[in-house]
Amino acid sequence: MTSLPLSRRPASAMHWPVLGGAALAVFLAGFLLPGYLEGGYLQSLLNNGLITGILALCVAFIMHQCGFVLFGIAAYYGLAAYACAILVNSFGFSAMAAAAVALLVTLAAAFLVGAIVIRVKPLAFMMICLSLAELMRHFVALPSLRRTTGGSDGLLFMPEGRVFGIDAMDLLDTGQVWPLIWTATWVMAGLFLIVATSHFGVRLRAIKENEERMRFSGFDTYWPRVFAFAGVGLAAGVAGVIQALATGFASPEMFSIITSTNALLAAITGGVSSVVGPVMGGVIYTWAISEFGALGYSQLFTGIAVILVMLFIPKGILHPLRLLGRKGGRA
Amino acid sequence: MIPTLILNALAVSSLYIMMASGLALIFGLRRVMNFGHGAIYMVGAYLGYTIASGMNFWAALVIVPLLMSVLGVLLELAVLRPLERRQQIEVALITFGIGIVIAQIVIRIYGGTPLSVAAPPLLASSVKIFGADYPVYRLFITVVGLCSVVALAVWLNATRTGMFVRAVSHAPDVSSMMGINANRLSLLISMLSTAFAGLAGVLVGPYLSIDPGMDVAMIITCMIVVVIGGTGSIWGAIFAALILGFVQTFGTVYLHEISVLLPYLMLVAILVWRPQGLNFGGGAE
Repeated sequence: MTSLPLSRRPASAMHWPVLGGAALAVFLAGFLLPGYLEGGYLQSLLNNGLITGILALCVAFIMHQCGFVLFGIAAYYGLAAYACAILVNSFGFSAMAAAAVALLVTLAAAFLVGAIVIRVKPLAFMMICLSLAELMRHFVALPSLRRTTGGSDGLLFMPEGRVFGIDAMDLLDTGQVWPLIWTATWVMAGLFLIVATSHFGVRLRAIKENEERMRFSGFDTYWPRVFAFAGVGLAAGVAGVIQALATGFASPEMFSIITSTNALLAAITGGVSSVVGPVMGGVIYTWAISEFGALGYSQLFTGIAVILVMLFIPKGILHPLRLLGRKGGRA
Repeated sequence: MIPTLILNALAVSSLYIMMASGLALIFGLRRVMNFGHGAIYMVGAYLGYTIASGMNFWAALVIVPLLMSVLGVLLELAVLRPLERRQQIEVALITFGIGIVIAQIVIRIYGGTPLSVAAPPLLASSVKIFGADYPVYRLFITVVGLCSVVALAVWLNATRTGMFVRAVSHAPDVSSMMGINANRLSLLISMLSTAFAGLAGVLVGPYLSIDPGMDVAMIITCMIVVVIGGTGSIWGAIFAALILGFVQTFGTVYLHEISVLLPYLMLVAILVWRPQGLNFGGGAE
């Protein structure tokens, strides 16, 4: 599979129509998948894999465009899921309205957090984002909020109405929710790609390269990154809302460090400068974790994977290959 | 009521101080945030359990920090030194992965149920302080914690090695030009840091319980302390640990369950006020 680079690279004019055509073909073919898989294990694996893939896209975007390691993406993922569930349960919202309001809530939260954390150094950024995800995990598990959030057991909910033409009850079926997840993944990947190649993306990367120089040149270096952070939070919220609708459930585990770690692993392994890599990474790690999880080793696997990935392929699995290719080309 | 609370807060703070000062020391020397610090504390606690139930608590209090300093040698020689030239965040994530692996191995060996250690007979009683009964063991934690901080302060400020440590934290390039061997210092600091974590682990056994989630809980607390204190600032970290202990203890009594959220809210509030953390006393970076 070819990786679509996030940063603009010289590509021949012939390249794009071919790539675009192939992408369109894959996108359309994806809708036929549930017919072949007929629900079952593989379908739910792919569903979860793409959800992790969207989270990985978020992590990759912030890493590539802003140079920050977003180690707490679970905060926005879980927040959106809980907001959606609470709006349905306690306020009687329809599925679509709950999803929309939940996304607004997540956007607002991510904006506020971004406004604070963008000012700190990268290492502190990582630790604060992680702490905020833990804050949310404790918050939803508070015993006195039990009637609203379901406490440590998580929150079951029964959405009603239609979501993009699909009955909300049908979304609980792994095959029926697939078109929603599949489309969302493509839309998110497409949006990230467009933003990355836009003027805004160029400005973000320029700030990453040298913030001081950008400030001296008269560019605002604070708000663009806050907006990027808020946008990424929103994207993670989309994953959270879909996951909540697909399972009818929001759990404190959505906020766990392991959720954030897996998204980070998928992003780094797939390569943060690509949009295909993180999604593929999400699917592969979800598969691997489910395999090791069956043996009771899922966390051990995550730990070992973090060590190996950071030791040997901190720039993604394609990077060493690219380097080899470049060396070969020069020789 | 209030004196009891203050004493409780001091006991909690002592544990945090032992953990956070170790983290800040390594960060000062190596610019590495050891995300595996919580797991090392966990190993200390479980080893303490084994030795305390097999031999006795006092033996655990001596043996565990010694064993953990061996782990510190491993940390320095197998992780920090080979990865010296890697990016800060990469090394931080590697230590995080190592932490997960260590914690999982501990859980494999000891199982997932919480364990508890009995306080040694000498410390199991209680004394009357301001008219209220107070467990001697908690006083003991506070005394050990405070002694270790004082010892650390004296070592850093009054000895030659301590001066070298401060020099390397402050200006690594200049101090290496002046002939200070940063690698040797770093080995010493790693051992000290893991030994402190081990000591905190042993001490926590009879006070709170030992459970599989203790590593994550502690590393998150440590991170909050270190960020509030200003990354790499030892005195900032110690001061932040002290504040956090008080906020948590008083919060539990007066705000009940909301107190779980207090450390995080404190973190956010301080960062809005000062993005670089409290950061006094010459922090690194």
